[in-house]
Amino acid sequence: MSFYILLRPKILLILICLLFLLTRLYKISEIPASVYWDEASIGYNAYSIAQTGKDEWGESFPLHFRAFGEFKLPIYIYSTVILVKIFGMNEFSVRLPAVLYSLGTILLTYLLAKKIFDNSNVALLSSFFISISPWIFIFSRTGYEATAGLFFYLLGIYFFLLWSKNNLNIFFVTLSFILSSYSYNSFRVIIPLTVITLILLEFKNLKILIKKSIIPIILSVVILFLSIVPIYKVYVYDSGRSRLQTVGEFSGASFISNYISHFNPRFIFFGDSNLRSQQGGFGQIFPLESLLLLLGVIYILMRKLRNNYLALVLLLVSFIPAAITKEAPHALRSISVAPFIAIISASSLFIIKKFIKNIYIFELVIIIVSLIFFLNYFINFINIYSVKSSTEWQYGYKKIYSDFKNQFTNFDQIIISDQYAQPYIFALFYMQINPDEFRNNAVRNSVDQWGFSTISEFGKFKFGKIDKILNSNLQNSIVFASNKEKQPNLDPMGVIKFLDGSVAFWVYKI
Amino acid sequence: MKKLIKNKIFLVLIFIVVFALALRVYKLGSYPPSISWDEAAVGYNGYSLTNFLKDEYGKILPLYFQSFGDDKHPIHIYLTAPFVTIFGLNEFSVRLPSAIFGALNVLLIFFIVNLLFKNRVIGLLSSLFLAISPQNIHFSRFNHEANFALFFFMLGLTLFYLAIKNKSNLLPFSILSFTISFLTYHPSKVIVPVIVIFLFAFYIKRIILDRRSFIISLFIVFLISFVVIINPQLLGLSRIGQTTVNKNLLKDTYIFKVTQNEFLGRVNLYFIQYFRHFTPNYLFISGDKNPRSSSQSTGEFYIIDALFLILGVIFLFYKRSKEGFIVLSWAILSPIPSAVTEEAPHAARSMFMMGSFNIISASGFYLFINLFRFRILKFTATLICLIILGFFLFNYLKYYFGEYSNRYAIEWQYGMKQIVDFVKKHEEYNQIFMTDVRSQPYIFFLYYLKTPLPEYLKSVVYNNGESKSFSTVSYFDQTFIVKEGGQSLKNIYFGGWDPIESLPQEGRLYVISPSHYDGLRYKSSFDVKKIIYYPNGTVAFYLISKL
Repeated sequence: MSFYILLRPKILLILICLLFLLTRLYKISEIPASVYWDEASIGYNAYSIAQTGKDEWGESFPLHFRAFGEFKLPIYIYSTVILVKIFGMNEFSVRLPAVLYSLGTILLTYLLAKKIFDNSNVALLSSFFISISPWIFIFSRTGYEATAGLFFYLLGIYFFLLWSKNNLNIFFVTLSFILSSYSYNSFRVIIPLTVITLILLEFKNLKILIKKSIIPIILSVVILFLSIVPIYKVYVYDSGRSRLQTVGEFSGASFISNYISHFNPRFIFFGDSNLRSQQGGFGQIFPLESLLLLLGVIYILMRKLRNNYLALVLLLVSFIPAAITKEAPHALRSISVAPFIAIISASSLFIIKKFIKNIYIFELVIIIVSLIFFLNYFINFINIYSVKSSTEWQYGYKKIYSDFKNQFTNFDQIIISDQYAQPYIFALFYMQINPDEFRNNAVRNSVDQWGFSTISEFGKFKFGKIDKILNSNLQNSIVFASNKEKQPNLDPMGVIKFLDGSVAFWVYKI
Repeated sequence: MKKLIKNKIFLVLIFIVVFALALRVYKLGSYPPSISWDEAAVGYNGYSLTNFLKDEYGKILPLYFQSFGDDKHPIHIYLTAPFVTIFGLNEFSVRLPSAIFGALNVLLIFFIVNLLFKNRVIGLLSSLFLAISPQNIHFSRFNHEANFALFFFMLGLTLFYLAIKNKSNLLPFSILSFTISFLTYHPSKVIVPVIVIFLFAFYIKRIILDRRSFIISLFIVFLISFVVIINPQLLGLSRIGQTTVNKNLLKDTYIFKVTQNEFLGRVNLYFIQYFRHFTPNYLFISGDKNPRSSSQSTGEFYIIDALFLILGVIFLFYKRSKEGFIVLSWAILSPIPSAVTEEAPHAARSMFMMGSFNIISASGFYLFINLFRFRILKFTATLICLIILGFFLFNYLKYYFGEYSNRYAIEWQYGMKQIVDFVKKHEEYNQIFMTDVRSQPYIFFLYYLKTPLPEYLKSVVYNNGESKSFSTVSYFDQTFIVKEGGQSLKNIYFGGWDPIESLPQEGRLYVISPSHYDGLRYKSSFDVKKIIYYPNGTVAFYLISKL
């Protein structure tokens, strides 16, 4: 029957990828409604590199982008450079790399599951689960660097599992892990632990493998050292520690409680409270998948196969970066858990098989029910989330720079409140300011105690607390004051609203 | 042992049918909050049929009912007639036949499925799914053709399968039943002939075994064709004219833009409209956009049906039987009547989704339960599914009996009964001026005043103006017995005057809408006798007279 050709794994995998691309590319520029400061910063630094070869601070091809003083990692930004060159600086170019890296994650989840469980049915279901996973949904259609980190991390693991097939692969393992740790900070914590896990896994064959691949290992060690030097430099000489200090927390008790917080049903079934990580009211895992996850864990514990344990251990490792920081539970920092949840959930098929007469039809049942949940999730994302979350995505700044752009020439000064943080980067992003012009005119505030830097003015623009700026003499200016800074004795010429109707800015003419 | 199972099955079946009847009859008179013009028209024509053997226009035992000029179908009116005669002219009596036929359909579907698949469990499940179907509950709770058409269609199907099984003399009755369904409602005119042709094509060998039945059946078909040819109104062409697709919609289609060909554009539009019946939004989330046809809170089916429908289709494909094909074509054809008219997707015109989709759902449920290996697992899975279904049903009913009737009372022309009650009670008014903004008020007066047909026909003045769609009748009068023993004549006018210019005169009662009340020229000389409110608290009508 020709119909059964459609059920070949390759065809089904393509269908899964299409489902993924369709739900991520649909209205990618419009939902979320605007770029977040990190996305704007990634976009503008990429634009600056594309135009001048320097970042926003004037450094040529940096490995760590200073940005707001938190030292952004380079891989995602350099990936964006190419897209900015082709499509210009806009939401699409900043967000597309995340979609593509996540597409890679789906394929790698398939390959990893196939390698671990040696069953293409389970592998397909794993890739289906990750493609509809609410854990990575928002991250995979917005400019989050973590998606690049996740891709290279899984690639490294996959190459390691293929080590026995080709000696050179150990070099690719190192390369992938370096790229991963230059994509997102969490992976700098996870990767050493992962490497230990992998070595323990292959402990028996390790001697033979090492003997066979001496040269690639030496090469690996060399690039590893080369890659550590810049990290060391940033942490010691620049205030690169600032990021870790702001978010970090080292104490045994809090580590354990933070770690356990990820298993809290409130986190699992009602989701991360950060609206940029999860739509309100939806869990990190769909209910059906959580049931299958439980079955999968039982299966792995019962079979006691070394290979299968890998998925479970890596799942547990994933929460460590989020546990050593202050804001736990944290969906983004523990992003690497998502593929392993998918893989283990899918492995529950082995148990289910024993109780079910026709496993293929039952798989279809699982897929349909999951799709119903996912469709509900997606429809909510398109219709409700976009409106509800516009505050979180700093939508007000986009409105200023797109709606009032043409009026800016009529004024000598443009004063913008920094209530929603870093207004300058949105000006650079949405108005496509020439990087050289910006670097020459920018006046920076002194770096604060956490190492964060802000801009006080450039060109006609002035940023800061409105009440403070209004105390100085102003003439022929336009002022954007947040709702908190509303000026009762001035008559507003306009108002900028978030999509949910709340006031973002009052606009005054002086 | 076998008998025991059979008994158990029938006990469950009876339980399901009683449950279905309870869902359909509970507070039938007050949910939906009031009867619509169509229901009132069906009720009044039914009343005049049993008492005077005539319809409201004085036509003796008509085959179609002119009513508001929409040539209403005959079957449901004739079947409603005894109910309004026995239980009086009220909300409950006119709706009861629809509810009863809804429950009968729940019973009938069990026998059909039993004959089709020879499987009692699927039969029971089909009954259950139809019993709790939001679409069927909705159309069972007001007087509508749908359940009547479905009943006679399914009866025809049941009799047909009995006939080819061993009781061949039932064939003419099967054809008769199909014919009645054909005459009951427009969608039947598309679905019934096609299904009958399929049935004949599939089973022709077995049919012609009994020549006599076959010839009688053919005779019935010819007879009905003849009747239809001399009474083309039976096809309801006037209504089809009212609902044909809008030319502008046609011009928006992709193919029309490319080819400028009206026929191809029409085909394109029909395709689009057909597939609108399969969107998740229509099927499972909010249903028909018209509040009269759906509660707006649940789709035409429950979300969990999505799973069962897909599995059911697989089940039927897997069986590859003639019977499965009949059910599938019944399902596939069902949206067509709605696809070729305006306002698609339309729950009433795609009414044949009821039954067919429920059978498919039930088959899917059966397939699902049988995937499990052990009895305890089967039992658990069934229980979980039933709990989920119960939860969805509960939510649906909660909304239907709560928010729905509050929010959409205006769609049900709420307030007419209260107006007529007021008029009946107050003898001092002999001239009633009734607004026609809510359309066809005269039928509610006829219905609730129980106006005797001869008296009505003597005085009625039909509306020949342009606003015919608002009120077909512009005047009639009726004599009332007054308490002291005398008589008083009430003249009732429907529309035809400018409400803003209403004159305050002795003995006159004006019934006007809130917006007209606000604009009244002589507002200060009027006294508000009564305000009629919708259940949600907004004003429906002002009843005013001279101070």
